[in-house]
Amino acid sequence: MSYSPIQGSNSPLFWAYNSSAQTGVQVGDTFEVDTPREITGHISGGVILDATSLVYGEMQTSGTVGELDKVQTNFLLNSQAEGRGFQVATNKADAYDCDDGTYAKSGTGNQFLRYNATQISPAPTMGSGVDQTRIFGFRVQS
Amino acid sequence: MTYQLFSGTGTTGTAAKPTRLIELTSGINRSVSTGSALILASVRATDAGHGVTVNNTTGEISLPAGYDYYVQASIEIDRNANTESFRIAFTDSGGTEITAADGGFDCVYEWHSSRTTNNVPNFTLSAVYVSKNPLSSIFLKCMSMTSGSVMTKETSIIIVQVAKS
Repeated sequence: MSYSPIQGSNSPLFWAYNSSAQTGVQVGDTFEVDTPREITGHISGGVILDATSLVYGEMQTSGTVGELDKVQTNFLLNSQAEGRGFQVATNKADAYDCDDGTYAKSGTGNQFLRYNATQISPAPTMGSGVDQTRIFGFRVQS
Repeated sequence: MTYQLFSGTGTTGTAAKPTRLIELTSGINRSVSTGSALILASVRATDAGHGVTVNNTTGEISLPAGYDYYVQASIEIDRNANTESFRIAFTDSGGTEITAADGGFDCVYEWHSSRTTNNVPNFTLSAVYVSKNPLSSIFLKCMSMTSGSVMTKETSIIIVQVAKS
C-alpha cells in the first residue's frame, strides 16, 4: 500500500488547536482541540476525520508547580490506540514547549480522533498546564 | 477547486502542478539574537518549479500564490548559557508574529531554575505555519533569544506545497 495526497475539493491539509489553556490533565484525559481548521467534523475533545489521514500532535505546556511532569501520549481513533509520543513539561511559570508529539494514521474516514494522555509522572495529574495543544493532519488516499 | 496529485512519471514528474516537498537548510551555524531571522537559504525540492525562494541576507521566505502550504521548522539552538530561554515564531514581512488564528504556531524553550541540566544534548523544537490563504512572504524569527546563541546547521524547514486549481 502506498499513500499520496488526496485529490478532491478539500485541501489535503487540516489542523486544529486549543484556544485556551488546559489544566489538571489526568491519565486518560484528552488534550482539547476546540478550534478546527479545514476540517468540519469536531466534537468536544477531538475531530472527526473525513478521510484517511496522517496526523501529528504536540502541545505547549506551562506550569507553576515544583515538579517535572513527564507525559506519555497517544492518539485514540474510535478508542483504538494509535501512535505514541512523549512530552516533558517544566516546573516554572510560563515554561516550556511541546514538540515531542505523536503520529496517527487512520484507516478510513469518519473516525473520532483524540489526543490522549496515557501516562503522567511523577503524579497522575499534570501539575503543569497545557498552553496549547495542536494537531496537524494530511488527508491521503491509499 | 480541485487539488491535484503528483501525477508525473519517474522521480522528476511532469505534472503541471504537483504537490511538492521543499527543504530549506543553512549548511552552517549562525549566531542569533532577539529579532534575528533564521536564514535557511539552501533549497532542495522534490520537483522543480515550486518557486519558493529564500533571501540569503534577510531570511525572507517567499511563497508563490496558488498553493496551500504546510511549513514546519525543526530548530536546534545552542544557547549561550545553560540558564537561557528562547522563543521562535513565524512572522509576516513586517515582523509581526503570525498567531494560531492565522496558522502560526511558535516554539518555546524556557529553562527552569530548580533542576540544572548541564551538558545535555540539544533537542529540536518545531514551529509551524499552515495556511490555505498563505502570506506571500514570511520569516522565521527569534522573538526572544540571548546574544551569543547559535542556530545550528541541523536546523531545517520542510515545506509541503499543495497545488490547487
